[in-house]
Amino acid sequence: MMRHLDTLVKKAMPETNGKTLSFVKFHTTGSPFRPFPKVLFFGFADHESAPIVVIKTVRAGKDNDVIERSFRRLSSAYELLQSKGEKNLFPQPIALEVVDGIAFGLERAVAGERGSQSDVGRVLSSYDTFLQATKHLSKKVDKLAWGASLIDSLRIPAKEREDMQKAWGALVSLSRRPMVTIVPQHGDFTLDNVMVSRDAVHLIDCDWFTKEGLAGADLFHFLQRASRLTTDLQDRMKTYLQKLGEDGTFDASDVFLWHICDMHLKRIQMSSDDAVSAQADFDKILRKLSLI
Amino acid sequence: MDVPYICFKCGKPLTVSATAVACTACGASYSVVDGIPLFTKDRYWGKISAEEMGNALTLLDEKGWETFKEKYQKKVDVAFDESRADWRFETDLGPDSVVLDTGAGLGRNSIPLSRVVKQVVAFDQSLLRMRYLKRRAEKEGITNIQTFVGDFFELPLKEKSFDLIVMNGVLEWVGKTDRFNDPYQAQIESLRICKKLLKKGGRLYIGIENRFSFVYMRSPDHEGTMWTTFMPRMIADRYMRWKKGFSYQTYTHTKKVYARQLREAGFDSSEFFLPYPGYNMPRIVTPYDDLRALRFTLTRLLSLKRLGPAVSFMLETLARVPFVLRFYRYFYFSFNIIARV
Repeated sequence: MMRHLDTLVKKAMPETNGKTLSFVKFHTTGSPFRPFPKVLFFGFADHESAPIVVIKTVRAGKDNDVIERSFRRLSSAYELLQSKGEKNLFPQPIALEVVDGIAFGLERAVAGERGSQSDVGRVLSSYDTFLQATKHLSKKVDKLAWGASLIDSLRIPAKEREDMQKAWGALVSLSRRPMVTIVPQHGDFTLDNVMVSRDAVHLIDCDWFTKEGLAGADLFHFLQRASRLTTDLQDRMKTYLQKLGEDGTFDASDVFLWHICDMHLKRIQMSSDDAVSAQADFDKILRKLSLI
Repeated sequence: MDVPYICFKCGKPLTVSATAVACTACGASYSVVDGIPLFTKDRYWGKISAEEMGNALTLLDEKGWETFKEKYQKKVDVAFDESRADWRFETDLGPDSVVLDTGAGLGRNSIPLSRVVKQVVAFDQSLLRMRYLKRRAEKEGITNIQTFVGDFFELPLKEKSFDLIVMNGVLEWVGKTDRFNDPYQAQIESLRICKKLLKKGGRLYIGIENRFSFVYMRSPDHEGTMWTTFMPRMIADRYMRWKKGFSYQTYTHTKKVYARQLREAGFDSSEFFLPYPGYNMPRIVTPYDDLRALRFTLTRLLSLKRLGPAVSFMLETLARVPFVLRFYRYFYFSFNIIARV
């Protein structure tokens, strides 16, 4: 009998029939007691020097939703960009299969290597392409209702949800702007989630892609995670955020609230020290951008 | 449903009760402690002392998992990370498969495997470790792990019962038995036992160190001595007798020798993989025979850029040379091996 991985690839990619396949397994580590469930396999076929397919899976059926959600969101992002003629920004989703109760998501491997600080300029240009291609989906919505529905979708205890709704209501009442701008969002835009080659830049790991994300949040996240806040990067962000603010819908404090919701959404539990440190980072960035 | 036990003295089925396992044919009888049959003398092994492991289990029973984790997380190999069994993606294990986990320890293979197969039979020489595994399975709501304390060379199991056998960190230790003078022969015999227990088309997984690993230049080997793996066996043996008072018994080998041992034991084929950083925590696993994949691993997955531009450029350049890759894997730390009957 063949390995499940061979069977899956040969079924989904008929061009690999008759070829010998080999796989490199890779997983990112979580904490010892909160391990990250996703496992990746890079598939190589005869005579290919780079992988042709990436298979994402989990170790137990109870975590299948991680793969199903990831595949669904990648498909959504890919189709959206495809319809605007941008075929290369996201990896092509190939198939989602469940074998013996375990989900496997297959996507075409993209060339290149993970982004580094020297790639920031190219990466942000590609992100501009994403913004331009998805501009038509931008809309302004009521801030109170948008936040409430986001909090409703969080997998957190009812009491915590109730507290967050109250906090959100209080924040909105203090806010200068009653509306927010909603745009498609990668959801985890960092240099680690970008593949850069000589010819192209690809956004990968679209597990948190949404068509209704907060404008500015992706770039804010990117800035927060960048190891160095170069002047160029700061200027770029400032211009972008100020532009967003011009129509009266952007409020920098919304981004921090989004950040906290996002942490919950991804089921990352921050210790109080982490939260203080995240808040300090955030304040530092806002201050550098002269937004507070 | 549990895999039935057979008497390793007369080959007849054993009857299991709450307090004993008995053979009605030859009269052999074995005790059952905490629901775990003891087919051999309990021999504890582990990072902490038997006394401390006993205290840890008492704490677990009395105060629960959170308190246990707080006190013993760093002392006992109990991390809930289940990546150790990721090699199973290279097999065709499914919901009908029956697995034997030899030297199962604290269950870092048994637990993840139990989630995707029909039944796991896990044994170890240590009752305390089997008791921990049983508690962990209960905590996870897992009901398809069967545990016993046993000796590799006297297993109460019927031939052709398993689709897969796991030997994670076991083959190097089987030479410690009193039954063989030559560790190499003990290893061959253990592999033959596995072959007999496997069904047709079954697989054997081995996780083991490479004899000529670079790591042994600066770290002691299994016996706690430096450079013994690099020495010719006869010299290593004399050195061990002088240094420790007993013979050298924990043999590791090169890829070529492992493949030969598997052939000698009757396995049809074997595939080798390079687990990084090692077979117990395999974050990255690369097929041994695929140099393109190894180059990809070294240049794309190991984040060489973090070593600085000059070092990463030098390493990336070196990784393009096939000879360098072959050299690297010859001295690699450890192997995942999947052999097939």
